[in-house]
Order: sequence, then structure tokens, then C-alpha cells
Amino acid sequence: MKYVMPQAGRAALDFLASLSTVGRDLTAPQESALDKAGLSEDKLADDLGARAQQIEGVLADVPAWRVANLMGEWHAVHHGPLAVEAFTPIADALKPQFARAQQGPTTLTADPDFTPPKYWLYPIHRTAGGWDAHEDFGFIHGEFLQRYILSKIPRPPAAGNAPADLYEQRRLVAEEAPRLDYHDIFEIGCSSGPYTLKLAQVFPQAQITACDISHAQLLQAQRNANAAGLSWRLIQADGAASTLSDASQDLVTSYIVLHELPVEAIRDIVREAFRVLRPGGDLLFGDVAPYRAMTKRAAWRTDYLATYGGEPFWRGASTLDMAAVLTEAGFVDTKSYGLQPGNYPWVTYGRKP
Amino acid sequence: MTAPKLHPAQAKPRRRKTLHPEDVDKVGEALLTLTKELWVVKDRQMLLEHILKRHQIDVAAEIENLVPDAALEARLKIEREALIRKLMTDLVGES
Repeated sequence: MKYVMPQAGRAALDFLASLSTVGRDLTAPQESALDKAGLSEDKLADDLGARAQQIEGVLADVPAWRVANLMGEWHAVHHGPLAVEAFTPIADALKPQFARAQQGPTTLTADPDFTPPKYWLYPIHRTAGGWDAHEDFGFIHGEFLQRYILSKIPRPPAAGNAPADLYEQRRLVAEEAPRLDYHDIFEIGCSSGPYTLKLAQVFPQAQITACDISHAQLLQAQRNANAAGLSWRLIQADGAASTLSDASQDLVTSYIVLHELPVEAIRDIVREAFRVLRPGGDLLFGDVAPYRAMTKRAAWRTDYLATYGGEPFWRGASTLDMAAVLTEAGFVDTKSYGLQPGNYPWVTYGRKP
Repeated sequence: MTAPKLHPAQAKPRRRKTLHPEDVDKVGEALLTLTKELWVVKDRQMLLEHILKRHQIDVAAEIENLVPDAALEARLKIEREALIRKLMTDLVGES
């Protein structure tokens, strides 16, 4: 899709990216204050609430901590509206391109009667309105917030800290699947399709079906698929109630979806995956690392950023034993492990016997 | 069949506690720093447009649609991050 972001919008999004980058300078004074207070790993509580009290009690007197919070709040409140503002001047010019990109081999089945689950009403990432903030939020999120801003800033502690190729990380997870000859692949929570595109590259012979709750995101996924000449089946559905037939898939997979869901929704999705997989089929999740795979300080910081960064279900997901959840649902050969330094992405795998 | 509808999020997210009352002096200082920086830029922009107009060059549309090349983007990044650091330094103050 061809477009140029007008100057004001581009400069505003560049400012957001730099705010995150420069704000990292405020971490060192915080860590130094915690060192001085003697809060080493062995002194920090195992309980997350007690640990937060220990750490945040010290940081309350550290100006760098308060300014980091101020900058974090500004970013949280403003990133969604600024992205929409950057889009508005080019919206009309993009409409014909959107219409053309929706024509092609990828189909999109909407459900006009769809009722989203309650957790969907929380604005994930503090993005005003969430994934459905705007009728073109699939484009706005996929192009501006993900491709433009996130590719320019260091990743948070839970995602390895360093700048990273977000799309390459998705390919790495897809390549963890034990087979290359899948016929039918089902992706849960595809958003605008960044992981789906990697699935299509790694498994070029497979028929890919992908679902998402957001019709706005699915529209952008359809455009991305058609632009690449791909034939996906996109459906507006909850991954926990996919509408797919029993034993119809060879691989069920998702990328960084689970930590956005309450624990019960995760369990429902795993049960649904078991239902739609054929015997011998594989389940593969890529997500953030669990807290047990981090230092206590890194786990606290991740939990804090999640709590105030619009990720209310992160703690539940990151303290859940995913391999055990898969085993309870009937999967075998279950395993969980980190892929790169920092254990991101974190892979969970199981096979339906 | 009716058209697909959006399901925008509605809940109010949790907010961090940020500055303390004693930080207000530093906020004022940072605001003045920002205003000064903004004025320096606006002054320069007005001079530039004035000079270009004197030479019968209209750059407004070109600016609007310019995609900075790598070299320009690198220069912009340095200036942008320096501006943010100035504000951040004021806000943190002397510890």
C-alpha cells in the first residue's frame, strides 16, 4: 500500500518513538537506587505484591522513577489519538487502495451478530478504544503503531530489551513447529496478519484459516494477504469458539495473544484447539516469557509496565503453567521454552494424541 | 444481513501515580524550556519561509509530503532526542 504520512503526523509519531528511547535513560538511576537499598535478588520477596511494595517503596523517592511514570502515562494516553491524527489527512486518499486490496483470493467472513467477550472491552495497551478504536484501526495499528513506531524503539524487558525485528521473531516461532507438511493451519487472534504472513512463508502449501474478534483488524489482514497473493480464510470469531469443524486442522497456533487474555479464556482456547485439531496435530503458541524465567526485578518491572500499560491479564498468563494447561486439555509431549536471549519469544507446544 | 460493527473498548484503565506536589517547580521549569525550544524552531521556520518566498519558492506542499532519507532522519533523531533529554533533565532535577 502506497502512502506518505504528512509532516505533522510523521513528526508526532517520531516523537513518541524517541520518548520511549530516551526514557530508557531513566532506568539506570532506578536500578542504582534499588542496589543502594540492598534489594538484591535474594532479598526480594517471592510474592509479587510484597515485592512491588519493597521496590516501589524505594523508588517513590527517586525523581527518575516519577518522571518515567509521567512519560509513560503521556505515551499511554496519547499514542492512539496521535496515530489516528496521523491517519486522518490521508484517509480519503487511501480509500480506493483499501477497496482494491480487499479484492483478491483471501476471503473475510464477518459476523454482524458477534458479541465480544467481556475482556475485549478493556482498552489493551491503553489504546483508546482498543483494537476497534476506529473503522480503519487495522491499518492504523499495523502500519503506524506496529511497523513504524515499534520497529524504532528498544523492546520492553519482557521482549528482550534490545531493538528487534518483530516480524523475524514471528518467523522463528513458526519454525518451531515440528513439521513442514501441514495441510490445514488455524491461527487464533491474527490481528492484521503479521504472524499469518510468516506462517504462509514457512508453510507455503498449507491452507491458512485465521480468526480475530476485530473486524477492523481482519480487513487489514485481508489487504495484506491479497497484496502478497495469498489465499487465507479469515473469520470474525473468538478463538475459544471458532466455528471450525471437529478434527479439521493440523496445526493451531498464535503469537503474543495469550497474555492479553484472562486465564479462563486461555483454558477455553486450549480446549477449542484440542477439539479442532486432527489426531497427531500440533499446538504452538509464541508469547512473552513467564515470570519464573526472569529475574525478580525484571519480573516486577514487567508486571508494573503491564499493570499500567493496559495489559490487565498479563500477570495471570505469566504465572500460569502453560504446559500443565495443555496436559489437562489432553495434549501430550508438552513443553515450554524461550527462543532467544531474554527468553523472547517464549514457545509452548503440545501434540494431540 | 447488517454491516459488521465495531466493538470499541470501554473500560477505564489503571493510571500510574506520577509526580509529587514538590515536583511542580520542575514542571514549570520544563515547560519554559519547552516553550523556548518551540519558539527557536518557529522563529527559524518563519525566517526560512520568508527567505524562500523572497526567492519565489513555495515549499509548503513539499514539506508536507517529504519522506526524510536516512541521513536526514538520523539528524532529526539526534535533535529530537536532545530536546526530550533537555526536558527530562529539568523534570528529574538534581538528586
